[in-house]
Amino acid sequence: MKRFQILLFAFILSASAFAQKEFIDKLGNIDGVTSVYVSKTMLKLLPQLDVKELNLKKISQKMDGVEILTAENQNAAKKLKSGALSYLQKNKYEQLMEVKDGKDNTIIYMKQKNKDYSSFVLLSADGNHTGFTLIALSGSLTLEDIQSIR
Amino acid sequence: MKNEQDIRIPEGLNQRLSSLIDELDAQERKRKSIRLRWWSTVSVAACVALAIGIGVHTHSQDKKLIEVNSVEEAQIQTERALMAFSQALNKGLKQIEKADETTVRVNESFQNCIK
Repeated sequence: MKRFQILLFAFILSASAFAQKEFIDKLGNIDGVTSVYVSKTMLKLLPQLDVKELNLKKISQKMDGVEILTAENQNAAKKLKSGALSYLQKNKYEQLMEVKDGKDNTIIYMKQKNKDYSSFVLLSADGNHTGFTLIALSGSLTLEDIQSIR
Repeated sequence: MKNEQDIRIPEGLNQRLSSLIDELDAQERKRKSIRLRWWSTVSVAACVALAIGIGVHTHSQDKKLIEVNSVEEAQIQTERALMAFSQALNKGLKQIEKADETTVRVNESFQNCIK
């Protein structure tokens, strides 16, 4: 039993080594795509996020990381969009909401990995199909937390 | 009650029992050896998986990526991300609320018509 527990721990550790920056690792190599990653350590170092009307500090402490991928041209936007949609579908992310505002389109996805850990992904495309942004948040934050920001 | 001397032991029973015990012992040793080999293989596989995971993670740091080294830049990017999420979510929820209100109004009108 002791051996089994040690082995299980080793497998879980190896799985978690893959879990960070999952979108940047998968899609960050596309030409024309810029990636930004803010780690949990950096989030903890942020000073009081004291922007007027916003309540960011409490939420940033619940976050494990932020990934932002931005496509800067039409070709990159097309590849990033199709890559993102394919990855989200394969990894069983659920679509929460789609908001169309004029020509701009925004979709929010979510995956609950366990009771205290969720990932939220926002895909945003402009109407001209020249720009596409993927923002991924992970951690123990909830939809209510995100809603309460503004 | 029978006398002990009257109990007859079949011929060759000793040898048969002895060889059965030896056979069972050999089987048990073989099973233990297989189990030990299996655990050894699985533990090596787990270590390899762990090493690969750490290797891939380290290697992935080299990919095209803006590393947020300054706290100011991290703050800007985090605010941008959270604002984008919040605005989209609240926009969507507002529309749902509007639709809900419309549904209630339509329902009330319908009820009034029936009366």
